[in-house]
Amino acid sequence: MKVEYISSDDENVISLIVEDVTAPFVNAIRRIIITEVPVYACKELVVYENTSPLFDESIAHRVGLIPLKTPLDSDESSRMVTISLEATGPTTVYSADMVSDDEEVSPIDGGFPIIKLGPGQKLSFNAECCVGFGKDHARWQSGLASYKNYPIIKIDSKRCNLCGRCSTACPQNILQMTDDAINVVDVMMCTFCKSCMEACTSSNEETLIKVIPQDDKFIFKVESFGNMTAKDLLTTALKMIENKANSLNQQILG
Amino acid sequence: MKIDIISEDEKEMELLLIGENHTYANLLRSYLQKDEHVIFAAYNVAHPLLDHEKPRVKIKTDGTKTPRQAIADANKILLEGIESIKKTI
Amino acid sequence: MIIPIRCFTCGKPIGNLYNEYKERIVTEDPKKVLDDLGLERYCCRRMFLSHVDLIDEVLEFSI
Repeated sequence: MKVEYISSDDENVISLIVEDVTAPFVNAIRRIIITEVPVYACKELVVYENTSPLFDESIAHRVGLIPLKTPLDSDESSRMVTISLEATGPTTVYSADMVSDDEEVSPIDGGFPIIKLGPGQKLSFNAECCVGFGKDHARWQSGLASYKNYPIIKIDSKRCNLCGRCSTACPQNILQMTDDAINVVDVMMCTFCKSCMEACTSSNEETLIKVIPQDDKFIFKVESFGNMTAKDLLTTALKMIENKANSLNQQILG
Repeated sequence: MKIDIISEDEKEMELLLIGENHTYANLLRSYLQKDEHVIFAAYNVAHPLLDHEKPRVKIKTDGTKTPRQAIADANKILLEGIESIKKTI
Repeated sequence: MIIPIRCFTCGKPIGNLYNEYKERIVTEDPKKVLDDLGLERYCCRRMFLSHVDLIDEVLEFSI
């Protein structure tokens, strides 16, 4: 199996080109990233005072969805963290005002607006945060992952008459026409819309350009929501699949 | 994950993977089917409203290896793949 | 009412980007602002484009 890493300047995004694997392999990693990686989130709010324009449960809903930084080795048995907030209007209450009793578990960004308070309105609560999984609630979703088959674009250059219709038809502008050939620029941007094939068929009997998805080669992209870096997220997901395979091996082989 | 073996002999095996879902079951099935000594590999997951956390996996080999060995070999390729990704990142 | 914390469809946290969007939209083209903020999927883009900020009007009333 071959893996190629596509660099990015964002630590929350990783792209890979993976070869010699099956679709279920990349799909398993994708499913685990979306639903089974453990992260911290506020689960319950103990509200002491709330004279804001939103109901307690609406505020609890918003606070729960704020992503919290999660240390790497967290799992279901990790301890509960308490985050507290006290605010008096007139002001906008941001996630930066939340005070956590564990500095490693705190909102990923202080810029999430929780609620706006008018003059004299108060909000005071303690949030109990615990580790959970994306399959139980969106607050525990750690990120997104997606995969796409690697495109192969084949042009029959002997019969191509350089009419250029495919080049104009491509919505991603990846077919460039030069004096003697059609060149493919940045094949990974292809979305398999096959507009080029349709355009070619309109002026020739059959299409001279073919777009084929490669069965065993994928472009795999992981996007973390900020609870951990994309690299840590992918590593955690891979470890979870490893554990499943090892656990099965242990019980099968004894 | 716990397993529950429904039936087993030298060529055929049926087992339940308790606590799993399509994520691992489909992955295992795809690598089993790539093995030339495995003549049949399939899995089934019940409807989500029923007792669905128990994918049923059925494997038949041509006799040159036991179903247990086939599963171990599929896992081996899978683990090697994961190692390659881990090394790259 | 007030900007949702996450995109409804994909779950990406977007609440923290809204203030910057609101400031820049007065002078710049929305497409450029959304691209700069890193909102590539149209599910996330519509969260901003179609949000109506009513919280300031509701603010005067409390529970």
